[in-house]
Amino acid sequence: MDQTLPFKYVSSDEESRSLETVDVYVSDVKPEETGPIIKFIKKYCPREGILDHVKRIKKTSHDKGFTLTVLICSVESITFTDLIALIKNHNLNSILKPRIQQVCKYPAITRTQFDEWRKLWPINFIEDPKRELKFTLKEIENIEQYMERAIKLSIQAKLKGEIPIGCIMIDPKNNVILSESFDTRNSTKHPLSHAILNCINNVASLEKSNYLEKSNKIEIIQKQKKQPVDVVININSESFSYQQNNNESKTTYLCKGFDIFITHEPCIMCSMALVHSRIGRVFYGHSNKVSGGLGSCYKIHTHNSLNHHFKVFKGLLQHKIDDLSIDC
Amino acid sequence: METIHHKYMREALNHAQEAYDNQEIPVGCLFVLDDKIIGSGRNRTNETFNGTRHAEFEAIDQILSSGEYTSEVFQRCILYVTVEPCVMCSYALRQLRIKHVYYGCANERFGGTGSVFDIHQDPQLTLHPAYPCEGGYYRDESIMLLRKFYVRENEKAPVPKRKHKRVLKTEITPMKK
Ligand SMILES: [Zn+2]
Ligand SMILES: [Zn+2]
Repeated sequence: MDQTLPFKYVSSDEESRSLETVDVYVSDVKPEETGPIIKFIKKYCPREGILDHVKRIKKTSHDKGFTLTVLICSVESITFTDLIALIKNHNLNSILKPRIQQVCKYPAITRTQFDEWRKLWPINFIEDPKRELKFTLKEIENIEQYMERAIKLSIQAKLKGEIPIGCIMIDPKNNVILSESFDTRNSTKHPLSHAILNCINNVASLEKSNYLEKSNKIEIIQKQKKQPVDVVININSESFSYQQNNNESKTTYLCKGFDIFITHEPCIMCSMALVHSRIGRVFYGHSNKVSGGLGSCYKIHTHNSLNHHFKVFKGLLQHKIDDLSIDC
Repeated sequence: METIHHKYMREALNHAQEAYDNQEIPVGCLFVLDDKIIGSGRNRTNETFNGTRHAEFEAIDQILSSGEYTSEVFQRCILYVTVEPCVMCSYALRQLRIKHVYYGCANERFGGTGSVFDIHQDPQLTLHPAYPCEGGYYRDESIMLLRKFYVRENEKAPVPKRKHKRVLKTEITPMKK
């Protein structure tokens, strides 16, 4: 991640977590004596789930060669006295001399965490390829242009006496703009007419009319089929896939894979509306400290018990939004 | 004991049943002002293609579009809803300064008034006042309606999710305190 981006990734608490440790028993061992020791540990100190990310053996190189240190078990699982007794019972007290060591408590998710936390004691790390946050120059250019449009919408809102929050939803696969909207709380006298809800409502009615149009078309074609005339029937494959998907819940996937660009961080209500709509990514400018649901007050996009997660980026063109900044 | 809250929740359950009869997730609700129902709603997410059209939003929009009330009315309203409001609706209700909320069963996956978050009383949300929220009114009936719905959905699916036919579970674990 050497790329300098004009926006900042809003990480989950797990991703931004700093080092927390847990105490374990370890012992230095001679290479030729590791056999019986590992056998003993495997039998009497089975792997604990909480230590799955921690390596069993640490190798420390120095000028006289190297030292091997083996991890026995967590301090939580057995008292020091009981452990000493157990070792003595197996006649290993001459080669296994436990002491307490700290290891990192949680698995590393980012490379930065891994590089930092492994210094304490070696750990496993599998980088999730989906975490890759690189953008092509063209993508960044598009992203900035979409935010410019959202800002224009917020200025439009302001001129109409509305709260200046603008938003735009696009399909990044073909760069089609699906909906442009702004906050209309003032004119509608409806306290919940936020830009995002307006945007989702637009996309939903669009989707519904497309669907009805297509199922109508199919109905007409089916009626025509019954008549033995040589009508040229032109059915595109899309209409059929639409019909086949009839039984699936359409709403579940309403905004699947779509991007939303909004001048201000969505409130908690709107953030959850984006979860319900299965949004793909969210880019916003100004952070909303009083009710923001995507980084400020809550991190709804990464919450463990919610069933849909998405990526969020903040601070995009923020300097252009500062004049319009408002917390509500 | 049958209280006034049970009376209204029974009515909310009728709306949930209507959702069930229309292939929607069975959640129903109503807003009560001075012991009078001023609006009601039920889930319409499938019909509208819109995952945000929860019962609460349906009822709120009905009340505001009637022309009889302004949004200030919610400050004096009690909401009865068969399932704990989700995170989205919990904050919507807070913005409306709702007076009191009573619900049937908890919403383990999305609940915003106790299950996942405590949006109704989170002190860091200073723009709008906290509101009291109590569950457990006709809880078993609300749960059974949801279960019936999911069993039916699974049977309708072209490829049922499990090998065995899903049976309707009837025992209900007691409510967590
Ligand atoms: Zn909002
Ligand atoms: Zn809801």
